[in-house]
Amino acid sequence: MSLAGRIAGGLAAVALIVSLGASSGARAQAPGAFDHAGLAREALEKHIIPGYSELVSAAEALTKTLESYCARRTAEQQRSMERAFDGLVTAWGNIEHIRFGPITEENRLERIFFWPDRRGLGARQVAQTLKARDQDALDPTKLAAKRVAIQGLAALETALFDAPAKEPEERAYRCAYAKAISANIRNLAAEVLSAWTKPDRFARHWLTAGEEGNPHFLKASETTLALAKSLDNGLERVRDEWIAGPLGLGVQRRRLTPILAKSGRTIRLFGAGLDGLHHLYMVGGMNKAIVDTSAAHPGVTVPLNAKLVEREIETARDQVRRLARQGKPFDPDAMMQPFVALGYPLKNARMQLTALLGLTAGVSMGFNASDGD
Amino acid sequence: MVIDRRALLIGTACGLIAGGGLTAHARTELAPALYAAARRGADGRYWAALFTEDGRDVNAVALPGRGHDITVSAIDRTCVVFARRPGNFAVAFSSDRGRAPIVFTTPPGRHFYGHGVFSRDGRLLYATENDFDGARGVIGIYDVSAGYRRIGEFPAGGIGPHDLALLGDQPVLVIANGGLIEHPDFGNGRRILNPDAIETTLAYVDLRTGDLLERHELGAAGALSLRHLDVAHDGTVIVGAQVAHGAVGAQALVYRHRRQAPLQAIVLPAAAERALSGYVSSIACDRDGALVAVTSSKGASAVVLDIASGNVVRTRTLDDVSGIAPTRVPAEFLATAGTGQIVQLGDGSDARTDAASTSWSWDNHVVFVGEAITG
Repeated sequence: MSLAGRIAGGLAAVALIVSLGASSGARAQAPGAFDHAGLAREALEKHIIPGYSELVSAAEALTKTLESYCARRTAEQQRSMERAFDGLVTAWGNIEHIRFGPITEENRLERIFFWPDRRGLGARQVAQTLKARDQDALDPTKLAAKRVAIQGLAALETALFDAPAKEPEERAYRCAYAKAISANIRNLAAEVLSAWTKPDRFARHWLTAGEEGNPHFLKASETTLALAKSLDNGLERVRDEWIAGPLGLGVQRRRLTPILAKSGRTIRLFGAGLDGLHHLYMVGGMNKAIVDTSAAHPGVTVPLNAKLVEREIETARDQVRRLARQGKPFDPDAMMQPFVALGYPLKNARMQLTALLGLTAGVSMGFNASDGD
Repeated sequence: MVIDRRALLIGTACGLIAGGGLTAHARTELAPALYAAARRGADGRYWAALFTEDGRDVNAVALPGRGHDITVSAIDRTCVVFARRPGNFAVAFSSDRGRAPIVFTTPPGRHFYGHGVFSRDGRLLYATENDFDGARGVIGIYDVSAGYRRIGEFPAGGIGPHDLALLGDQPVLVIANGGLIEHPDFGNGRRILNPDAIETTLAYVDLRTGDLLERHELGAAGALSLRHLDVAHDGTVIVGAQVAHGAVGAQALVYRHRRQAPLQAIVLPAAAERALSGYVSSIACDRDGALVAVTSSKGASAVVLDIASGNVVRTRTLDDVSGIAPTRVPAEFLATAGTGQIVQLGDGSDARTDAASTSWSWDNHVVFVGEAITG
């Protein structure tokens, strides 16, 4: 996602919420104190809203492209469809690490992308839908009420890229189903965006963290913790699930099917995921919020340590970009070495980030505190 | 002071240690006390370990994933660690490093909730499990002598059973049903799928028949999930809750219960309530069953209460604290934290003593196993 695109996409939405949290934004901060409210606003305006705006736009673009692609499948239409699908994968990868708030309501996260499909349940349900040529699944509104696993990106990938359809009717059904899924993803993303932008919805709680009666964020620091966990868990997911899984280095110690392998978008998603995490850290305000506390920690080189987090994410991201430029699909055997090497900067970034946020923001990403039971 | 070693073999229920009080001074003359807990290493791998109070390993076994609680057989001190939800493995191990651990799993369609308890004779193991396609809680029954073969199940009397314990010497299991519908396909099995309809309960089940004896709902709750419990000498059950949805501070987090009576909230002073931050991680009675300690990893605090009066005896802060267990000393607890700290919480003016600083991230619970067998 381009920075300009994110900001442009978010500006209109930001105007709607500008009155919210104005008092907390203007609150005087002691020198070097971590500005939790400021970070919450920065992340909302520059990262979260633009990210979901981009997702809405990408899904809209794909839906539109599929209309002509389904009507007439030329080589040019095929390329357009592939580009639009790339756009959707990128937009999702850029913002998928936000796993709190509206995305977690009404199973929207799983409805947008049902993954991992541990028991093959989603694959079976998509296969059944295609086999039965369920006409209700072609209507985005009716599709939204159907099973979670047949509504999102994984089903879309199957419909567009799995074994080619043999008959024209089958091909037409798959294409129409893909179009309905794309429209459904657009609607889901728009619902999430709406909750983050409308003044009376989730955005209100986000911007008034720590105030009396806030049911979601009891303390001002809890929004920082939510962002910190998004970044930390996102880095962990790229390393330990997306990459280590298919390499056979995950917890299961067996090779898992790479994510988005049917469409050959595995490496694209890795890159988009790291781009999104880098964006959250640098543009979303985390780096700045950390560096701005320097005065309170004279014995620690806070800016240097903050820079190290950025460098580690960039090292991993640049390596993925190099691999992506080769234009080859993800190959666990041939690419084992470079992907194993990616694990080190990702781990280092997490460790550095945890230490820094503990020191500067007073948020503990503790083993138990961040994910208890 | 002479301590009967067998009397020091305790199970999960507190107050099973017989005999008079042991002072902190006398402890130093004894063999070290053994504890067990799940943990994560700096390399990200998960383990379960038997260790001394000063943090030295007696035995440790690698786990296939993140563990949660450990239950100890009162007969031979076999330990079983359970995967935390929605994991499906459990591992039986002991202090005997030469004995290979036994790994067993839930059947398809079930996962563990992280807790279990041995029968009094050590022959059966009961575990809280999720029948996730049926959205109901069950207690799985495992035959210890048959390599932990699963031989059956009975309903837990509610949704989302979490912690459980034997009720004194009665053939009764008391179960904290969290009330949360969760499914492995959603949010890694940790997303609450019924945030507006949480029915959390305390259930008593007859172990001989699987019959539900009593079921107590937390009245007009909606936002709370009863999670962890312990049983005092006299059969009083102390239950800790977590705010699962909505505002923190609206309801009590610690409850007392005796059979045939309603659940009784222990209303804490505002400072102690804040220290728990809407979240009880773990709960344990002291060796005499007079005090109970509750921890909150989110609040970085441990609060010790008098069971009879509900009065706060002391509060301690400790970053990422969660595990809590009785020591051999009355009114004293051992706390473990994700930071690696192992801390003794005694009753002195500042009884917090760093027993050990380790490189392990200690997981949610720690249990007292007994006295190390020396010589």
